Amino acid sequence: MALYQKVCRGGLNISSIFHSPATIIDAEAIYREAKKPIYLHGGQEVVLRLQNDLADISDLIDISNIDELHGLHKEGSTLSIGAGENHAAIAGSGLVAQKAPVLCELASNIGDSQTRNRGTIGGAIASKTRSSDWNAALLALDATIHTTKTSHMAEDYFSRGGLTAGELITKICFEIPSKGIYLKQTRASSTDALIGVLVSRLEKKCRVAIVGSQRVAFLCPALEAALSAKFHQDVYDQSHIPEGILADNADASLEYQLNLVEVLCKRAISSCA
Amino acid sequence: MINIVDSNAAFNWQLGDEETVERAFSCAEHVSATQIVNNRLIAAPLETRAANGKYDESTGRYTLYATTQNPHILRRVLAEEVGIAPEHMIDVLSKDVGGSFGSKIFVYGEECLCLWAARKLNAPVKWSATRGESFAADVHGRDHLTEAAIALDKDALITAIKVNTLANLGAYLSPFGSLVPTYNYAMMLAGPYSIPNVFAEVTGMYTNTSPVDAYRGAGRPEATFVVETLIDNAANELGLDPVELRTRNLIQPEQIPYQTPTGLVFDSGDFPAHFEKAIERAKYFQFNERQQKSLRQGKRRGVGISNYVEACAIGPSAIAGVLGADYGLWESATVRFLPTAKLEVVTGSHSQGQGHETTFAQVASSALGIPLADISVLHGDTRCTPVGMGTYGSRSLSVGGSAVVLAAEKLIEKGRAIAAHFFYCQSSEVEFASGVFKHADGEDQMSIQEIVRIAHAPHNYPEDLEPGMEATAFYDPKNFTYPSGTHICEVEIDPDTGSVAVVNYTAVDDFGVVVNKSIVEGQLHGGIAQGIGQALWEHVKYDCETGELITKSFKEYAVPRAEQLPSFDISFTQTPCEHNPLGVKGCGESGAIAAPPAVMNAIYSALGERVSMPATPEKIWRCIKKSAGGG
Repeated sequence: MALYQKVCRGGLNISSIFHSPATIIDAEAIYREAKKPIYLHGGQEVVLRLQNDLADISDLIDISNIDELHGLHKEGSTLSIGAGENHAAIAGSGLVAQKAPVLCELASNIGDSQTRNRGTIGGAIASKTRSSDWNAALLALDATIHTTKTSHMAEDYFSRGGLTAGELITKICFEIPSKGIYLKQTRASSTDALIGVLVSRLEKKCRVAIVGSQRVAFLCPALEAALSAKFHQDVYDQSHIPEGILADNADASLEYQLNLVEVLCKRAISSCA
Repeated sequence: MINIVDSNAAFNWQLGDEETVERAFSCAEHVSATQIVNNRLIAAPLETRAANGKYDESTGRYTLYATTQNPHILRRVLAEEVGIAPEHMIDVLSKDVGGSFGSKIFVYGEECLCLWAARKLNAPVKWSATRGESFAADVHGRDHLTEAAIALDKDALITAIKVNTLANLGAYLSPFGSLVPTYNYAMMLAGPYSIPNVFAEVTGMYTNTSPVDAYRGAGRPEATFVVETLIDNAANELGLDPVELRTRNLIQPEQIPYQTPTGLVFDSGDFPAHFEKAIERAKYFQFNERQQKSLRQGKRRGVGISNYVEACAIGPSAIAGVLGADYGLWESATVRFLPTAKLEVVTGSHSQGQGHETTFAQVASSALGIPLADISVLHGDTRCTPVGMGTYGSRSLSVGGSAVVLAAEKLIEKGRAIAAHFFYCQSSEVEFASGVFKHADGEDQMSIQEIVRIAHAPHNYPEDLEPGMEATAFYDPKNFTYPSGTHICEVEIDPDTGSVAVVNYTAVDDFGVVVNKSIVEGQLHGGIAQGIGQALWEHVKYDCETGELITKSFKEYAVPRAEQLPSFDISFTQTPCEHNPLGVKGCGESGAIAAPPAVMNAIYSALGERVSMPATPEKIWRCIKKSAGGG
């Protein structure tokens, strides 16, 4: 146990107790006991929060030494990825390249190499603030997010607002697609998606998931239905895109974002045909 | 703006003879006019500004650790303008500084407050800017709105250029805030071309924004952007290749020294040399093949040229005086042999990552013939450096390096006198080369290391000669240096998304003698990256209603990333500077000057239309859509 100490701007001293448990059970026990704890793995979210003085944290619980959070496996028709795997490990995995190359492609374009080497898939999904690329994969590959308390279907996870206090993501199981393509247009200031489109062909259906720079992630059931009848880029129609989710923002107008959705959807569909 | 004054114009300034220029326009065969926005930029050095103030009650001395580019000027301002204490009671230290690009030239309130508070509290006071504070309160760059026109005769020779520029100064007039959009800008409005008439009218405007002042290039990028935009527009309108129009109008080597219509004298340079070399290296005349290949992949490809010449290595103190400066713009150096014949080079210049520790050591090593490993370069400490003027305007090697040469020459002169004493001859009979003093007509020789040891143990020594081996020199240049170059950029545009990829970038620059190729290339890499950043991504935005800064972090303000840039093809031509002892010209700002027009002319070539900087994908997409008649 170590003391993590920082002096906030304004002279306020914040001390956090640093824990490094080896098992999920230990991590949860520490969490329950602590006053205002936070889980820490790669630090891509937590360190930023600490730097920005947004966090008044009593206990930092480092979960990077918990073996149970690691591992990449094929489990039936799904690909299971441990929540503690970092983006670079996923991008470089032979198993992922074989079963779902779209995830390698997606992971290899998250952030920069430092972010990919430190940031984890579990952290990205838990924080729901960055690396929205994964959100496209969760939706389009019908993922199940397994946690220490329950398991969430991806769509429910987004609609219900995420994890409860102390709940830790353990692994994510993606349906293995026969084909999948993720295309994104990045924002000017980062590699985050201004618009990202993931088109997948699963065993009995196809999926089209869209992510945007305003942290939005959604499926396009109407387009999926049209593609089920005829899987061709020409079936795309703007009416297939749910209204009222994308909006004008500081990065781009709605009109331009809808153009990107169309261009990227058509390209992805064409590549998946 | 509170409505208590008639106008928010701070000044209206003119350069050139309006009547002559209007006459040239009235008899022109072709006139091309355009409106140009030069977007507002944030310098965004890696290290934000920081200061640490101390006050010693027992001695009454103040010590300031700061991230300034010019410690002595900061000290003088703290003493003379702010009134913290007399100049000799303030020490300013500015050691390893992580980048500046002009934004750390100036004296900001925080440094002064740290010293003031240190005395009040009788305790050290530290301050460092957050990124958000740095973005909001450091000076910004550029921000011009310009109406410009060019006149050409029947042979497509340019007869005149006129510009009318509104320059945003921000809410307060920063020290160089009026210099940058006037002399620094308008004097370069003929570029490297033989243009006889130039007229510029500049109105400096106060606005509810942060002050605007020097940022890498400071006025010269804005001028180059105007000239190179006008030339490509005119070439397009006349159906001439941009190369052809430039070829007809470049100043020829035999015209050097060349008196510009704006009052400068280009005393060296060969503009056609780098222009032709760049065209060849960029395979400009094979562009069509590459364009066809891109078209087959559904992409639009464009190529853009940018020629520049700039006035830097500021500067002759006499000119600074004529322009109204209170300070001189010389530089100093002390070259000090220690008793063991190791050397300290102490410079009044300042490094914020430019590698002076290497380059200045090379200059001293070359002058004195001693190994680089025996030299250390010291800077950034008013307690132990000679009074210096610091680093900005691509001046360090040209002005500060020249001072090192002059100081080294004084030591060689002294060494000759010592050697002559042992050779039983006159000083004039002693030759010096590669660290060895030799009797011109005899066998006698002594190494500089032996001479240094003798100077520190002067037992058998020339009468009336001071012991020790240390000299200080001040160098004031006779003219600016005029680096010039040609940059050629190729872009590929995805017409469906408007995304631009910079696919090729060729730079051929003339910096005179190049002392350290890696360092010069590094300067170019950074400058070109910043120039491409201005063209494609960077743009400071304020909320029009509230005046609040919208681009307040790297999330909103897009700086270039390495992965967005191609490998640059960098090479040189060399026409040595005529008036400094090293033959060098400033290289620090060239990339940021040359790159924006090269990129924007490439986009113009690909689209056949102009978009304003930054050329974001959405702007380009809209432009293509409009051209296709889609609204």
